[in-house]
This record gives sequence, structure tokens and C-alpha cells, in this order.
Amino acid sequence: MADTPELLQGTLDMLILKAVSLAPMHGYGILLRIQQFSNDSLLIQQGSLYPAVYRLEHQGLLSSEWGTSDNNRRARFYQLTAAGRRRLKEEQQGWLRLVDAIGAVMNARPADLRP
Amino acid sequence: MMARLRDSFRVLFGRARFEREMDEELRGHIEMMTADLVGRGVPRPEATRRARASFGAVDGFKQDARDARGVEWTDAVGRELRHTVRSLRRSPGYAAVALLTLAIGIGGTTAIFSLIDGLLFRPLPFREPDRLLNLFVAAHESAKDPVNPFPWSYPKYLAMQRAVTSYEAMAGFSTSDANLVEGEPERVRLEFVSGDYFRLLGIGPALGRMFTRADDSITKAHPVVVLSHGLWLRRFGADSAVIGRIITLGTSRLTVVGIAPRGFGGLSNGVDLWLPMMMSPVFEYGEILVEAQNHWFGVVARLKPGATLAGARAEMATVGRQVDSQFRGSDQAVSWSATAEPLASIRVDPAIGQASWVLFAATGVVLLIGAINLANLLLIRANGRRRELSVRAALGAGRGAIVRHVMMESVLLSAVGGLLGVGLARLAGPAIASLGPRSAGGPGGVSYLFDGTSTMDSRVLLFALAATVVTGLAVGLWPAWRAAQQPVAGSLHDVRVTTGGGRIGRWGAAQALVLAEASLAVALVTGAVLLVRSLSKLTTLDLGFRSENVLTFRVSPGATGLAGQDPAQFRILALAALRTIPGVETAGTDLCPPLEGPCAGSVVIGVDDQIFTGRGLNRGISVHYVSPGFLETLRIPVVAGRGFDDRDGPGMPRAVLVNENAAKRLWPGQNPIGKRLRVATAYFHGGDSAIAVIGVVGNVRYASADQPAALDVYTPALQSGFARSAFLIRTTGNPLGIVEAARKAIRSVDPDLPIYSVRTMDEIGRIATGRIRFATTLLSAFAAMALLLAAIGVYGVLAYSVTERAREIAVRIALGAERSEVIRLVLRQGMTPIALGLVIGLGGALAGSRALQGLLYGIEPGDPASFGAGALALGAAGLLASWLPARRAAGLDPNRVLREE
Repeated sequence: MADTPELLQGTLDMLILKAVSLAPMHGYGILLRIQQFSNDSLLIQQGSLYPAVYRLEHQGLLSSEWGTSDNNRRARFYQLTAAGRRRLKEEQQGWLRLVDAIGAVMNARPADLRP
Repeated sequence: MMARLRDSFRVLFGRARFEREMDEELRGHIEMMTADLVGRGVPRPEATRRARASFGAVDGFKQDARDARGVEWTDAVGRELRHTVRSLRRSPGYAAVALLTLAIGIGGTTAIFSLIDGLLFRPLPFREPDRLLNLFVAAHESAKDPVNPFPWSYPKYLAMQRAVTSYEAMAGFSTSDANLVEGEPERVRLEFVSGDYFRLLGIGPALGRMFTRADDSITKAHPVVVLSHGLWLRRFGADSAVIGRIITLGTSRLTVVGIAPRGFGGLSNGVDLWLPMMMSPVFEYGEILVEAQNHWFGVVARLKPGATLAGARAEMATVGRQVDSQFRGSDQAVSWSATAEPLASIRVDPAIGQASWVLFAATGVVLLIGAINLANLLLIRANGRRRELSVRAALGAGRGAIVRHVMMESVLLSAVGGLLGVGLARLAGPAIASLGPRSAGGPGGVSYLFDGTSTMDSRVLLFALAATVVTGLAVGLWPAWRAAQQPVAGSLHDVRVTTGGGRIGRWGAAQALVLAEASLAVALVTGAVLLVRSLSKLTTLDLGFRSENVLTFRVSPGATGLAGQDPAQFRILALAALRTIPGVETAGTDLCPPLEGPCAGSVVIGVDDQIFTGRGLNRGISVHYVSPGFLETLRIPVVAGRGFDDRDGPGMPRAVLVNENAAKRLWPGQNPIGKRLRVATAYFHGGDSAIAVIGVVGNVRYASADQPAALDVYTPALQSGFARSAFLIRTTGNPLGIVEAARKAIRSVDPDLPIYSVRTMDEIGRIATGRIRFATTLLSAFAAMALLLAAIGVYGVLAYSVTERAREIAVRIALGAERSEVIRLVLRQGMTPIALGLVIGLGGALAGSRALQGLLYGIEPGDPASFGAGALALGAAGLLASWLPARRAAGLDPNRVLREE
């Protein structure tokens, strides 16, 4: 786990919103989904997952409901609210612009320098 | 935003559930992870361990999770609350003083507010009350004199009503009383009203119907009556079958047509039943609907939409002058006009209104002193907790958290104090209200409004809530702000360095508060002393008669009672019956007892051969009708000649007595015995004759205790045809002990005759001084509280300061300072702000005492003795409050104090 890249601040929220946007899921499911999408290169600390999930619910971006998990266990399922969907879209666009910008910087070559 | 708020509330109120669900969710998570690991071949114990470990320290994590849900805020408030309650319980003395202070302050203001709300602020309980006006005849003695509002006579009223255009309706009203003969006879208060009266005020029936114009069109032809809700309950058991029934009032039989709504007592207050104005000649003496100079009823009117008060007044002035010239009597020296006043303003007795404001301000001052005390205490506590607050700040508590922490205490205290205050107001309200004066007569036939009740309704509770919230915030903000300003490091290094100190400077805040308290308290105390001195002047005044052990009551046979009985004969029989009661010394009659006037039944129209004309028709002379025994009962001295006795009975030669004032004024420098007076038998009915003066008696203050005696003339009651009389009975023991025997004695003469207004003469005296007594009692109570609170404040500040400076004082003592020097040091610290406050407060009192002017008798608002007494009281209280800590400081043992360091 030592070579797991550090998550940029604020990106965990976005990842959670993205994971939940596909289907309602419980906390452990969110964890697994992010791990899976990132090919196990992003490992989320459980200790930071739940506070983030609760915060998002408190902000009205997620809503929750008790249901039954695959293995017949009672679990709380989270899903996106309309506000959550809007936020996800904004964050995604912002993230892509950031990646482009950082990519452009990191790919800069000496030839790009103007005298 | 709303979602967050909703969620916070859910978390706040569903706290247990939130915790449970969080636990369950986390447990589920761990189990699912364990199951996954086991599925991948990890042994179960190892899988469980790993799943658990992945969460780290569960408790710390839970806190993060809680914070994320906005639990932090709500939870912290709860924690803070518990902490505050605990810390208050550790210092019960402080908590008790703080709560008591607040309860008295908030309770006092609330109780007074509940009393005066109905008087000063609440709209009158009529339809669109702000468009209702009272119309007056305005009698100017001269153009410069203020308007003297006067009631209307019926012919003038009709003429005025025809001429004016500003009103959509108007109605006359006048109160009187009569004997209700239904089972137990009872004297009831009635109100004659025009047909439009109820519709104009917007008062509908509780049952049956109210009067209309059709009930008030032909003189003496409408034997109908509307009962008050109270009378209906009391005398008719709220029986709805009473509508249509015939009741007997005096000698008249009247049909009940309706019941007025609960709480409506007429513009005359406390009315038991209403009769059409056209019925008044049946009950009243003379042709009162015809006599143009008989001014006997008030008029209420409703402004037309679009009409203004100024317009109405201008019209009234013009029309009033027209009416006056139309009806002007040949001997009327000055011209009269008319005017209008808003009903709401005319209904409040100006002196009571003024007293109400003074008392309201006084309770405000008490609350303010209480709040200052509390702020002081909080400041001291915050100082004492400086180290704790510094630790909190160092550990990362934000400024907001510290402010919240300090504010919590004042908010909690004021909430509890406010609750206690409302309870106190509920208890004290009726007691305070019962102290209130009963005032009936206002100008121009209007009765002043003072129902003497205190109601705890939503308005009052809202007021209490506002007082509580404002106090809580005001008291807490300053200490909280100071606590938040504090530098962290300095306080942690050494607590001692930054506290202590006796000079204006660091302790400036506390000293400024003491100064403010002292100035407020001395102002209030001085005001109270002024009133107390005024009251004592008023009550020790020689009224010209002795009131102790005298019982009075009234009866009213004749026109409103039995027909055909000669009133003089009735008086003779009744007095004879009363004198046989054991314990009765003497008995006599007048038309009404002293201090309950005016009750003059006729006028003096001439002296010797000179007939009065023009201005000042009767020269301000009041005529009394008194029986033998009257002067003896009230112990009014006969100065010259003789009083009335058997020689002044029916059929004997007529004779009069005059008081010393009248003797001096009418016959200056001469012997009045044997001079002659001309007295009209009644106001508007002739038959004057010249009567010889047979005696001179002492002056009596009849009108009120604070007005000097007028010119009084006494004629024999046993020669008078006036039906009503007041009996005055001097007893050897408690006068109230013979009430039943007196009732029986009157009934033995006339079984249907009720006695009413049963009071002792002392009680009448108390009622007469009720206004000032009311203001004095309450203001004294508030002043005492203010003084006590200020003393507590001074004591608190000094006691704390001595504790803080114990080391410094110990060093001084160890270095050889005399104990007296130490005492002087502490006293100076306490008395300096008090002395400054005293000067400021006395200045304030001098300005404020003008507000008391109308309540003061025989004393100037700037009375030096009162100011001296106020200053002395505060000085003494301050000295006592400073002395206790000073003595403790002087008694410090340097060895022990320094070793403890």
C-alpha cells in the first residue's frame, strides 16, 4: 500500500459521488467500487470514507435508505440526489480541466519556451 | 441549506438513533469485509482482525463521522449545557443570587407590564377603536384658561348632533344606580344609553338583542333593559329564559331584551344593566331631557371615513359656539364651545398613566441593575476561569467556541431566571393589581379605565420572553467578548499577574459597573423617598374630621326605591333604629361621606339681600344636607353658635351652618351668626328662601385629601326632600362588626331597601389616596430591590478583589501596614465608584423627579431632604457592602497566605 498515490484533497468526495452515481450502494460497496475502477491503485481508508459519506449526505448530495445487501445483511444504501448529480457534473468538468492543465505543464518541452 | 438544517435537527433530536445506525452500519461494513477476506482464503480470526484494523481507532473515527454530520455543533451545545449546569451546581450561592436577581428583574417588569398593558398599550375592545372620539362641551373661564371638559345637556346634544357632519354616528351615555328588587334587593349600577350606543361601539348581544334607535325615541316609553353578562350570571343563573322576563328596578317594571357579552361593562365601567336614555326621567330627579343647563351625560362618536380629528375639532368649536348662543342663560358670564378627544386618550386617568410609566421605568431600572450585577459576576467568573479558557484556546478552541462557552452560562441563567420571573409575575400580579386605585370619574361624563386586573396572556408572555432574551444576550456578550480577546500565552504563564489590581485600569470594567449600579439605585431610592414623604404628608394631614371607628353606607329610597315614603321621615326612623345597636356611639347622615364627593344637592344663590348673578354663580359653595349627630360622628368642631339638634326637625324653622372658610369669605370681619343665606332647593328648581346662620363649624376637606377645604354650608337633612343619603356611624369597637346589625336596622324601616357602598371612613381615606399610595408602595419596593442588588454588586466585586489581592495585602501587612490602612484601602476601592455614581445618580434623580410632579403633595420634586436621604441610604448600603470584604482583608494572616503561595 506504500506506493498508493495520495488522493488530492476534495477528490474523495468526487470519487464517492461517481461510484454512487452508477447504482445505489452501501459504504463497503463504494469502497470496493473505487478500488475496482482504479485497478486497486486507489485504496480508500475506511476511516475517511464514512465521514466523507456523512458529510455528503449532510450537504444533501446523497440520500440514504436502509436495505438488504447481496448476502442478506441489513445495510444503508446511498444514492445521488439531484443536487448530487449536478455537483458530480461540475466536479468532473473541473477535474478534467485540471488534469488537462497539469498534463500540459508536465508535458512541456524546451521548444515551447519563447525567448 | 434546508437539507442541512433538517439533517442537523434530525441528528440533534434523533441522537440515539443516529448513534445506533452508525454502529450498525460500521458493524455491517466490518462483517462484509471479513466475509470477503474469508472468501479469498484468509483464516477467519485474521480476517476479522484485519477488517477491524482497517478502521483504525474506531472511536476517533466515529467522532470524525459525527462532525461530518453537523453533530459537532449540536453536540457541543449539549455538552456545553451539561458542563454549565455542573459548574453552576458547584457554586450554588452564585447561581441563587444570579437567578434571584433575574427573577426579580424580569418578574417585576412583567408584572407591571401586565398591569399597564391594558391601560396604555392595548387597543380598546371596540370596533375600530381609533376612530372613536369623545365629544365635550368646552367651558373656558377665559380664553387663556385650559379647556375644562364638560358633559352635555340633552337639548344641546340634539342641537349639536343636527349641526355636525364629521361623524357617521354618535351616542350619549351616563351612569346612575338603582335598586334591583328581585329576591334579595341590591343596588345596581346602570347606564342610560342612546339607541345607537351598542352599534356604534360594535358590541353585539351574547343573547337576545341590544338596543336600536327604535328603543330610544319617546320619553319614558321604552321599559326595556339589557343585562350585563356578570349580573345575568350572578342574579339569574345564566338562564336563557330570562329574555322576555320582566324585572323590577326601583318602582319600574322592565322587560329584559338582551344580555351583553362577557367583559363589557359600558363606557362607565362596571355597569350591571343598560336602559334607553329616554327612560332616564323615570329614574332621575327633574325633567333632565328638557333642561338645557343640566349637563349630565357623555357623548361618544365615530369619525366618518376620511374625516380627521383636527377637522372634527374645528367643527366642534364652531358648532359648540352656535349651540351655546342658542341656549345661553341670562346669567351666564362666559361663552362655551365644544371639542373632541380620542376615546383612547381620555379613558386613561392622567395621574395613573403617569404613575404607570414611572413604575414601568422603575422596574426597568431594577432589571438593569440586576443585569449589571450579573454581567459583573460573569466577568469575575470568566476572570477566574482565565486559565481554563487559555488551555481551551491553546488546544485549538476557536474564538467562537470560547464565546459560546461563556455565553452559555448567561443564556442558561436568564432562561431559568425568566421562567422564575414569569412565575413571580403570576403570583405578584394580582397582589399588585389589588393595590391599584379604583378611579371612576373622568372629565365630561367619561369614566376612567382601570380595571385593576393583571392578565397573563400571550402579549405579556411575549414581553417576558423578549426581556429574557435581551437580558441574556446583553449580560453575556461583554464577558464573552473579553474572554475571546484574551491573549493565550500571557494567561498561561501566570494567572496572578494579569488579575488583581485595585486602580482604575484593568478593573475599570467592574468599577464602571458598580458606578452605574450606584447611580441607578440612588436615583430610584430618591424617587421613592420623595413619594414616601409626600404620602406621609398626605396621610397625616388634618382633614377636619376623625375617620377612625366610623362606618358609612348609602341608601336610596324614593324615586328609585319606595314610592310615597317621606325621605325625612325615613331618616328619622333609620337613625333611631341604628342608635339602638350595641356599640354605636353616634349616627348621622349627609348626602355622601367626605372624600366621596361631589354630592352637593343644590346651590347657594344669595347672601343676605344680595342675589348672586353672572360669573361664579354659586361662589364655589357646596351645600350639605346633614342630620343631628353628623358633626358628632365625624368629630367636626362647632366653633361658634350651635350644631343641629331636635330644634331642626321637620316643620321647624329652617337654619344653616357655615364652615370657617365660608364665614370668613362671606362676612369678613363680622359675626356670621344671625346672617342669612339664600339656598335653592335643587340645582334647577327654584323655591329659594333666606335662612338664618345658627352656627360656624370647622373646615373639612370634602373633595379630596390634597385639596384645601372649600366653602361649605350645612342645611338640616330632616327638612330635606332628597331621597338618597349616606349614613355615618361612630362605633366603640371595630365598625365593620355592626354591618349586619345596621343592614337589619334599615330593613326594619323598609324591607326592600338595599344598603350599598358599605365602607369604613378609614377605607374611604385609603381609597382617596390610592393613586399615590399605589405608586409609593411599588416604587419603594423597587427601590429597596435596587438598593439590595447594588449592595450585592459592590460586595461581589470587592470580595473577589480581596481574594485576588490576598498576596499583595499579606505582603503589606507583613511589612507593617496597619489593619486600619488595609481597611481604608479596600473601602476606598469600593466607595470611589459609589461616590461617583451617587453624584451622577442624584443629578439624574433631579431631572427624573419632574416625572413625579403630579404624584407629589406638599413637597417639591427637588426636595433636599429626600435627596439627602437617598444619598445616605446608598452610602450606608455601599459602606456595609464594602466593610465586610475590608474586614476580611484586614484579618488576613500573612504567614498563611504567603506560605500557600
